[in-house]
Amino acid sequence: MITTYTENIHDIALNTFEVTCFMFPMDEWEIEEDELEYPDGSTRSIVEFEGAAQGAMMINPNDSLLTAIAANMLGIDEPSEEEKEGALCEIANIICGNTVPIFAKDDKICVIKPPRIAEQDEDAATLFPNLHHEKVNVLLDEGIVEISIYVEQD
Amino acid sequence: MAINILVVDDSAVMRSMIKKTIRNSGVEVGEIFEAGNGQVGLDILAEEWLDILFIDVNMPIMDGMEMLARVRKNPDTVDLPILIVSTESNPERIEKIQKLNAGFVHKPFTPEILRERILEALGVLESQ
Repeated sequence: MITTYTENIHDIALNTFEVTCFMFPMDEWEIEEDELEYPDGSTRSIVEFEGAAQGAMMINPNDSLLTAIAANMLGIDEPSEEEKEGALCEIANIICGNTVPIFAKDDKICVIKPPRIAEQDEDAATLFPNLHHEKVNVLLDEGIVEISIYVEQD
Repeated sequence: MAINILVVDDSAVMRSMIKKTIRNSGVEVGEIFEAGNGQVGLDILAEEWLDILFIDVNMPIMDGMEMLARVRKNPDTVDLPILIVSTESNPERIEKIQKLNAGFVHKPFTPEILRERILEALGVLESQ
């Protein structure tokens, strides 16, 4: 069986959300249409990487998921904006750190740079032009996250 | 016996998460100290009685690998149990960590895995 990059990213993301935030995967048919709130890009985390693989990952959760990530990771009911952004960056770091080796060209170390919150007007396609792009939506019981990876390929 | 722990990570969220997971692991915990980089970690280590350290790899000012090397150079802490917490999967990097007599916790981790690694590092469980 051939596993595609998007399947790998999806599985890594699901495992990260399950282990770190106690969330569970959902199928689209399990969610009511009016609850299917796709991310609007208002809070996104970018993690760049270099070394054995070069590129960047962008994690874009919807509002309900963003709050749930911080609440579950920190064990608090009402996380602040700063806590939400910090938790999103940490999730992005874990997902990216586990994903990048899939794209590694050799045995060199993959250097994962510190995650950051994207500016509102930052466009990943403009930031990382000419890179191979894979995108996957992950549906969870607490919300939806869109994960994009931009990676240099030969 | 309750153990004193130092968590060294530049992410406040990750420090909170590690602390929460340690408390959920069933290990009897005394005090948990926190540091945002290796230098602050070394300062706390010089002042406090600690049973085990959790160290992140990528941090500003002093990263985890440098902190680990410095702790091992000090005769007082040469055998102190240490766990490196990272998403790292490069075998060379992991081997380097193990050569410095430190355990490795791969992110993401469950309370059960953390408990196992802590007990291994403390010599209560035999490492696999």
